[in-house]
Amino acid sequence: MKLTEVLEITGATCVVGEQLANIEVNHAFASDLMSDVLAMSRPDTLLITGLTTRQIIRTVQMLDLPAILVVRGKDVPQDVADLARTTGIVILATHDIMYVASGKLYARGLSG
Amino acid sequence: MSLEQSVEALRYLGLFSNLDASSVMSTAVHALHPENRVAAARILMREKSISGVPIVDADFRLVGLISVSKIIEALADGRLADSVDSVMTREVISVHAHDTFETILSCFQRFKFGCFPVIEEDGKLVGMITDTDVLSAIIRSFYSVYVHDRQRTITLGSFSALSKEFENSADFVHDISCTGLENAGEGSARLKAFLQSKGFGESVVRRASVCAYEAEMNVCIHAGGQGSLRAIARNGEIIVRVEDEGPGIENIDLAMKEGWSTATDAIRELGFGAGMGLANIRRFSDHLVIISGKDKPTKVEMIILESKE
Repeated sequence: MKLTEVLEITGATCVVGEQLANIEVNHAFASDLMSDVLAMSRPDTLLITGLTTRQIIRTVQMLDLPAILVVRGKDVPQDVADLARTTGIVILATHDIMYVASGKLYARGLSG
Repeated sequence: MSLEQSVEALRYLGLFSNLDASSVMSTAVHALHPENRVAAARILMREKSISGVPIVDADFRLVGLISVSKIIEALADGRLADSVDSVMTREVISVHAHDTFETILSCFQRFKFGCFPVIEEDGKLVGMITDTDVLSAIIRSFYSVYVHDRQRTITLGSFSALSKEFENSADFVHDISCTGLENAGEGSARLKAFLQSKGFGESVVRRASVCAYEAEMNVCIHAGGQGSLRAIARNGEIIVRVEDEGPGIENIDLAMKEGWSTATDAIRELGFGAGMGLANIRRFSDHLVIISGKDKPTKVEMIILESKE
């Protein structure tokens, strides 16, 4: 699934990395526990999280994940957005709660 | 740590794969024949400080064993002048030369004897295994793994569970210095870039990065954010060492358990402290050594092998 589709399906906005919205993800992992993300993710995975700390960037950076979908309408702090920009990571943000965002994407074929 | 846990830990390190009974046993065997007297067995045990004497026939095939307790019985019954044949145990628990190290350990656990004869297919006695032999084999296996698999120049007397190379230099050095979790992960991000520049494959770099990141997070969460992250990356292996000055891990067994953590709620709110850090490191590394203790520095060394991809 292209990130542009993720935007459309979840009504999200692109906070960082609009130029990269053509990237494809084949899986998603929804969690606020970064160690669980570290334990279980595959490379071409979209991270769905309600956290907006620098650690979400570091976590996906370690795992080579291309993008993060921030849920629950959280504002992404400037320093976190800057870190994403310098590390080449896309951040999308939606007002949906994690359950709803996950459900919408799953229903449209983005597997776990 | 129980014996089982110790054995499990050693098995995890892959140290036993090359060991069989023939490589563990002592080959300098002191045996007697059935027609020898019990007194001879007693003298042999005393002089050679052994707890059991194997009894063999003319072709050196194992036919029995005489243990200390049999000698004590014979002493009490005044049978020291009798033949060994009349007092020896005939149902001897023995191991085969090609039996695995784990089989040997299970013999010690099950039968509680001090020694076991080692025989070949034809029943001929080729050696004896005592608990001292087992201990020596475990120590030797550390050397063999490090020397043969790691191409290291570790010699007897300077052996350490941790890599010696870090004493002189490292290919990558990062001082961890965090207040809060703000900069946590910076070192691992730098390490990742370094490993990529060295031409390591995507997957091995990812595994090394996750290991380094979890260890770096632990320094930031538990050790006041002060420590070091170093790495040696060459010949298809990445050795990552993360150290801090404490307060140390009181119970490493507990800390290794998934879901166990001493992190505060504030840390948990940041997505960490769920008790997955060390478990994750174990999951992604090929070798893991942790040295710590209550109020002690912590050293975590992780080896990630490209060949395990």
